[in-house]
Amino acid sequence: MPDQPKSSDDVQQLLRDLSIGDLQYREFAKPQAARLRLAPNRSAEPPAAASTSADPAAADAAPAAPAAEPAAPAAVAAPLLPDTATRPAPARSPAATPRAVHESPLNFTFERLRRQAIPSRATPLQLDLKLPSRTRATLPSRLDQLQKRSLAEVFGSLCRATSPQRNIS
Amino acid sequence: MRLLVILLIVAFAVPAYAVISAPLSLFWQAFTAIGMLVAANILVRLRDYRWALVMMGLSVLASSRYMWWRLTETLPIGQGFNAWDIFWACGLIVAELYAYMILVLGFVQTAWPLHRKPEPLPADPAQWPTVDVFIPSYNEPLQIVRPTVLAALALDWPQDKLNIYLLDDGRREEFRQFCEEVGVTHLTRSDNKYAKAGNINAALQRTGGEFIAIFDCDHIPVRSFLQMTMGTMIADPRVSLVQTPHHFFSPDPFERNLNTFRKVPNEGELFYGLIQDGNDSWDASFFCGSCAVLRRQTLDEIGGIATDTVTEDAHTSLRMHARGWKSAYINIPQAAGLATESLSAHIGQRIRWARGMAQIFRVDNPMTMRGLKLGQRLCYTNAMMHFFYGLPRLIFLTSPLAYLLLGADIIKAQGWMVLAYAAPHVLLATITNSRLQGRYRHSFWAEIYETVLAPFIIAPTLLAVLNPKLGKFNVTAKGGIVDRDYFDKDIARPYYVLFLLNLAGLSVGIGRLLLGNPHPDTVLLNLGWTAYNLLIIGGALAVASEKRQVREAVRVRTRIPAAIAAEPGGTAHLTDTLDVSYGGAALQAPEGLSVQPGQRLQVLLMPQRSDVWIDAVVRRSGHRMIAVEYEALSIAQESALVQALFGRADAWMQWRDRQDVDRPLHAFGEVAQNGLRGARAFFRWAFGALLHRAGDRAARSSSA
Repeated sequence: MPDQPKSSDDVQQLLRDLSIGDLQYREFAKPQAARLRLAPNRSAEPPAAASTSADPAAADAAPAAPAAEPAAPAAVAAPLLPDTATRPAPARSPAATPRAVHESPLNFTFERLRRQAIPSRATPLQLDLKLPSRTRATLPSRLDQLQKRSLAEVFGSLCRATSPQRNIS
Repeated sequence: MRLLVILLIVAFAVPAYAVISAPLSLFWQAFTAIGMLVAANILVRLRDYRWALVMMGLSVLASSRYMWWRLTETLPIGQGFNAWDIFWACGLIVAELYAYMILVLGFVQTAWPLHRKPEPLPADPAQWPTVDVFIPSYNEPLQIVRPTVLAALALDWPQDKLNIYLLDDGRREEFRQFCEEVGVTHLTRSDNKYAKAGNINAALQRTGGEFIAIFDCDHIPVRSFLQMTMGTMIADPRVSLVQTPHHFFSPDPFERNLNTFRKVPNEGELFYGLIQDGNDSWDASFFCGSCAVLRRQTLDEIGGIATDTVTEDAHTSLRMHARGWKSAYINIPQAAGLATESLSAHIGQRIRWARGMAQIFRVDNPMTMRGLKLGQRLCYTNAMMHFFYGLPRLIFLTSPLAYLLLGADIIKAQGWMVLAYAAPHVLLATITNSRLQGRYRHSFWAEIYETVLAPFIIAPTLLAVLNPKLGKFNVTAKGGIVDRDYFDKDIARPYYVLFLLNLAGLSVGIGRLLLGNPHPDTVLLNLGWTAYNLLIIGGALAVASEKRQVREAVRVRTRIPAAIAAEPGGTAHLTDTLDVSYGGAALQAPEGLSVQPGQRLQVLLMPQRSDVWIDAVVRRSGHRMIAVEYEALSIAQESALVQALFGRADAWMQWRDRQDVDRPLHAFGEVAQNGLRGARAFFRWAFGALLHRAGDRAARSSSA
């Protein structure tokens, strides 16, 4: 459905876009924006994060799953941008940078484009895999003996390893 | 000012009379016809709307010239003509006069559509008035009414100034329980007197809001409805009615059976897209029974909703206008409903409208009623006269047969002369209407719409004119389902009688032509007319070939932001919908989410506005699409679904933008194609029925 415009339900924006009068629209029922913990593999669809706020508590509980943060208003977001050089790089794709909540996709501005583009250039992707430290499988004293074995002894030990006696011992 | 208008009319009338009445030879008339057609083809390309007015003038001139010629030179009176000829000729001339009158009144009505915009509301919502929302219901099932009530609860209006009433004339317990559960008032009365009008009037006695918003129980409002309409009411205290379009998100029988949904404007779109906007410039917008706001003070003054006719809505607004109240039309779809499912239900609804308008014509004739302005008289008269098209349509469909089958001379003129006069009349009207109405009605489609309904509305309209008290209110059936393909032979009976008659006429005409008729041009003209009629009747037969509805719940193709979670509280995958219905949805498959049919998951629609997850089961997946069916919905989940699917302010606004533009020749091609398809369906059914009958007879004789 590529020709289908995406619904925003932003009435004021709609009134402006379609030039239908000077009505100042009032929202009476405050929209309950969902707090989502987003799935990690979603680089193909970054704009969808635009309208989603996330639960910071949930993000703490599951650090492996990159979560969207509550969107900052545009006025606050701008001064924070230079700090990205000095702060530790985030362990998530910059493509997941959240946009302001309730911001209409129709409300395109170059400022929004800049806000999305600068972090993606300033903070290259860095992965922190947090793997456990490596442990040795063989004692150093026994390692020398093992390395001095002949090829026949090595094959012999391999055959023994699959035998039931080996398992019992 | 009045003198100036009179002088202007005289200044135009004198040369117009000369042009209309000048007798011309065949050569000069053909020359004039070609000149007019060339002028119309140039004018139709000019975008400035004022040129459309010039086109209307030119079309009226061509049609007036044709009518003048027909009345003064072609009536079969005198030597060589008998009473039979005069009888057929009178029928045709009456039909032509009717069509001419409707054409001119239509031009007047839609000369300058107002395109009114919503007015701003006072800055302080404390100054906004109280509104009662009425949802009348009689025998509709609860699942049809639930979305309307839930959407009404989500209307953007101060909660202390909004009261919602379900007016249940069926006095059903399940309705009362539902109302209690969601927190709206369930109103009943002891009888069902005066049907819907009586139901609303009874509720008016027991409620007190300053304004009344009325929605049919299957018309689901979008949340912006009141703010879009109420500004007009507040800005001008003499406005008694603000009407918005009736929009349908499901295909009507024409759209479903001819496969034209969202490609060709439907039957009602001309009225809600153009005519009501035109009426508005004459301060003559009608009340259409739903999706409107009315001022209580006005209703009190005129004694409530009119109860004397079965089209109480138009009658009510007529009485409001006669009392000097104004009306307004805001052409922005602010509610949507289900179209009639079957052709028989559709015809039943139109019969009621036709009968009601004919009743008003008798009870409160707009041409003689006190208090109306000239523009209002003309608009109401045209609306009522329109429903008398049944007989003229049948006359047009059978007139050439009088010549081909019965040998009657109904037009005293040579074939070429008829063509030279009739061609500019018909073609200019077609081109001008395409220019004016192209967005809302494609050329030639009215022929099919009218042919389908014509045989059924003749009797009710004529009877209503004779005795307006005959008949009772019939409720339009909605929410049903056509569960199989079938040819509705009962509804189609008049169409196949007409079809067979025209087929016989065509065969006889070809025979007469081949046997050497002394007037081959006249035979050819009638043959062409008959062939055209066959295509139109074929279109009606195609409409009678009912197509099965694949799904029980209507799917709306709409792109709504959504999220999917494989388990409750799990991580969310953001995506968009492909289509949504009251029973399920199709969503774009997000990357990284793999689901299997039968798997349970949760769907969240409009995550920027709602945090209510809906439990669902995957029915199909693949091709980057996941189709889910909702599980049992709680009230909160159902309300979230209603608000996402039907209640969005932009739900229906740009619906019309996706239709094809009218190109008359292309439209004729489509109509002809449907005509041939209908003829094929008819022959298949007829031969099938004959073979079946022959088989039965053979089996009976062998058993005997």
